[in-house]
Amino acid sequence: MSEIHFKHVTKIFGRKVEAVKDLSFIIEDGEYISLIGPSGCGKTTTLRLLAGTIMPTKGRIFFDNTAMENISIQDRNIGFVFQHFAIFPHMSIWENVAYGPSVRGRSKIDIENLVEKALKSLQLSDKAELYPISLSAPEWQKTALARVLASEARILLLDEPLGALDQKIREEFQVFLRNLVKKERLTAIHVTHDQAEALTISDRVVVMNKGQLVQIGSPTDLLFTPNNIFASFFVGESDFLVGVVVDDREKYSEVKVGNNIIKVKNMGIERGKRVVVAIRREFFQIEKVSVEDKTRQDSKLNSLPGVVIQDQFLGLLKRIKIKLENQQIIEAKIHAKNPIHFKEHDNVRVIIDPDSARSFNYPKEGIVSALEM
Amino acid sequence: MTVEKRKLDIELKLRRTLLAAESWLSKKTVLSIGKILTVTIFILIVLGPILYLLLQIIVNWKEIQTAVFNDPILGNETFTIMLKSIGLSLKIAAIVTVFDIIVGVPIAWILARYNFKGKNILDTLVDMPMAVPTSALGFSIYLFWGTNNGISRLYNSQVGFTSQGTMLIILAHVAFTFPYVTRSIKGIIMDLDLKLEKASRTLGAPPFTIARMISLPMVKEGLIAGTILAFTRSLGETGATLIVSGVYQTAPVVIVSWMKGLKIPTTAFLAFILIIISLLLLTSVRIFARKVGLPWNTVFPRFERKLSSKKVARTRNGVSLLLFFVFVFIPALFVILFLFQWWNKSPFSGDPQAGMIYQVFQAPDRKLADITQALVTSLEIALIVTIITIIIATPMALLISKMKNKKLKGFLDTLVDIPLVIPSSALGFSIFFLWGTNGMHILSPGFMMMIIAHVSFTYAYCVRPLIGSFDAIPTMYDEASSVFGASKITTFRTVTMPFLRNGLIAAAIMTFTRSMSETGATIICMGTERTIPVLLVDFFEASTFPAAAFAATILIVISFILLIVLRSVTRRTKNE
Repeated sequence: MSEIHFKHVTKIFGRKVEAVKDLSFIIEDGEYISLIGPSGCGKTTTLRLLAGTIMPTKGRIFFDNTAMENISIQDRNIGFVFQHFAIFPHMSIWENVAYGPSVRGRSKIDIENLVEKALKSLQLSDKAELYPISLSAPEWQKTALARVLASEARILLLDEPLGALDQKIREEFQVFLRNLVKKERLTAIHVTHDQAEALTISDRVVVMNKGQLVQIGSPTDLLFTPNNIFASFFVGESDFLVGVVVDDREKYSEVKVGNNIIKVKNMGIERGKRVVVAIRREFFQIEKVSVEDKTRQDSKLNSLPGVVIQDQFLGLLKRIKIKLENQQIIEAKIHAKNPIHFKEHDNVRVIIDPDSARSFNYPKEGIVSALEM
Repeated sequence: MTVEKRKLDIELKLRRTLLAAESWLSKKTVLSIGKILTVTIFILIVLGPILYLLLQIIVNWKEIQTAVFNDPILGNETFTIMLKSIGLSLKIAAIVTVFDIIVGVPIAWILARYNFKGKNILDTLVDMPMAVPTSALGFSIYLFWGTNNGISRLYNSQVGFTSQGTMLIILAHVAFTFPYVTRSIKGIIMDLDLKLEKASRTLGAPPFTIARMISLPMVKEGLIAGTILAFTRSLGETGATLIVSGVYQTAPVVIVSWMKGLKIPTTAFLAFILIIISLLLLTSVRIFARKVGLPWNTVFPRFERKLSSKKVARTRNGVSLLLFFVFVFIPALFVILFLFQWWNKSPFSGDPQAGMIYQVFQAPDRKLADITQALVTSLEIALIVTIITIIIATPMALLISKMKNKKLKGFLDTLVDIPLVIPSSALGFSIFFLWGTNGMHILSPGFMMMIIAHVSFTYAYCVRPLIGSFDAIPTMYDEASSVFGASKITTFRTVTMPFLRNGLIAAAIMTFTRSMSETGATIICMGTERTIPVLLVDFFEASTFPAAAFAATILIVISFILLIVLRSVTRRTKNE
């Protein structure tokens, strides 16, 4: 059992810098968690608080109901994989992997068994006698993992562990890492700046901003049902339409954007309130309309009229920039193989899927500061 | 099988005991005691004597005032000598520093930027005057410029090119201080980003202008650090100055001669003033070095383009190298040539009793025994001092390197540098003052006092590079080690030490070399035993030059070997 519980944890550096503010969440035993957020959001601080290299200013951290404040780094029994691996250059791979059990005073026979097993499960057995200098980056990565396994840690902390690897190897490693953690029944906390990596690898993702928890949820939750403006902005790409709720029915509300009314999922915002409707750029559909059609709004289609101002090829996708009637510019991402060719000055209608549009109360401080990192 | 098992059991027990001991040592309270101990030792050995001297000057002000200003016989004659000697010392140090920059900067540039055959040799030769004991160097330079054996042979003169005095002091000081300038900027020039220079090249600036406006401002801090070291070394040097000064006494020489006459109060006062001057220099440089700009933004395109032509560059390089060889290299090693000239007879009269063989091996005063004895003493002291200094300096370097409080760190950092800038004779005197009959009365001049004096002036030479070595170890290794369960001391043994190995060896060799070659403090703290640089001065004063040449050559050979070992160690560190 290795359940981790953050209770109102705050970390202040110096006198003022609040790196982490009132952080509370539970990581269940055997869960794979990723921490994401813009740089300086407090994700690395959170990891260091877990490791015990720094202590919380306020609040408490529990491992399985044991409070951690008086337990020093070396007694927490955690495994740490560093961004640059921190493989001791003056020790062979074998000695590196044996480091944990040997400084914890295990017997020679125990050490040998643990090291052999760890090396075997990372396919490093034939490299045991080599020194780090003659190994490649992926092999360092494996050594770092073997070192954690041999130390019998139940909690694995990973700080940008794949950051130093090439893109291709990185993708292979994401799968490898997840399988390893699940096989060994570890609890893993993984800090990364790469959203795709976080969404691929984890059971749940924690989004942080300015030291605070923004949202915690499964990858699909975060991607399809973000529960605030920042989460929908930071994970994936979204555009925001500002409007007023004019009607709310059971399942859908009607929102007036400019001179048009669109139907979006009802998220409990009262009639007459200003809302921000967040829509993933991939979820927009676009259709060309003729000049006669332009003024006529087809309510069944749930769409907004606009004009194409730019068409850009992005590889598998195309980005179409559209200026809406209210002068707002949105970007739609459509498949590059889409047979319709959009060009500048084309009149289009942007069709909105009411079920994937998320609406939130218009933030008091304005959208720009709500999205500030 | 059972033997094997018992072995394993013993190994496990030993390891667990060691780990338990290390984890006890890593306790916060134990570590704090260690820190306090480290700082206490530093204060006791390095700062204590200086503070004690200061205190005594204040407490015994009346007595000192009488001795210095109102002596019943001499009046304020003592004070006049004091002022004169300090004035001379400052004047010489200033002139020497200017020459150091003229010779040292172009050579640093050549060593950093050009690739040529024999570059490595030139590099070693440039460092050599720092390793060779200054008394040997001064003697060699005196032989070359000041006697009819050296340069004057070229034009068949019966007397030397210049006699003992200011000129000769300057020549000697330039030889051993310019490497401080070269060394402190060579590394920085090598690390400069060539892209910046290329960029200004594409904007149309000629190389000289680039060097002046782009590269030199970046080496400013290194240059200032090197200059200040050169200046203070010149200000405080004793060994070479004793030989080349003649009647023109610099302040450190006056300290030594007053000390020999046991004029304790006046010596104390002079030592105190020298220490104050050095400290003022150190702190003002620490404070102002960053603020001083090189306010030379006007460009003289035509003139500088001319200066940048290949011809001028080649001439400049040639001249710097020529200066180096004529003023440093040849005079510094001339003593070896002299030794062969005077091997078994005088080259002038043919008298075998004036030759080295007779003087060292055959004469009734048994100089060979003296030399052997002094050599053994020197090596013993150097070895003991190196061990002690490494043991007390390593924790200090670690403490400074890991310190989080920036202000305290800067303060300790400056304190550690103090022995680097204080004239060693003044430092030696304050140690004599604190530990000897005038202070705690624990020691009288002799072997033990020499060891304490040497530890105190080598301390900084040891701590400074070790701080660098500690800073260079990435913190992730420490963190990794503690995450896997190692206590702080275990981490130090298993992870930090292996990283530190070459740094420690380099610091040890530096300490050893400094201890081997020091003269000023040694003369004051020595009692009847002699170290070899002091013996060399004795031989010189007794006018047995061939015997002195023999001792000097031994010193040069030893320091040369140490230097080469040091270079190979530091190079290995860089490659790793």
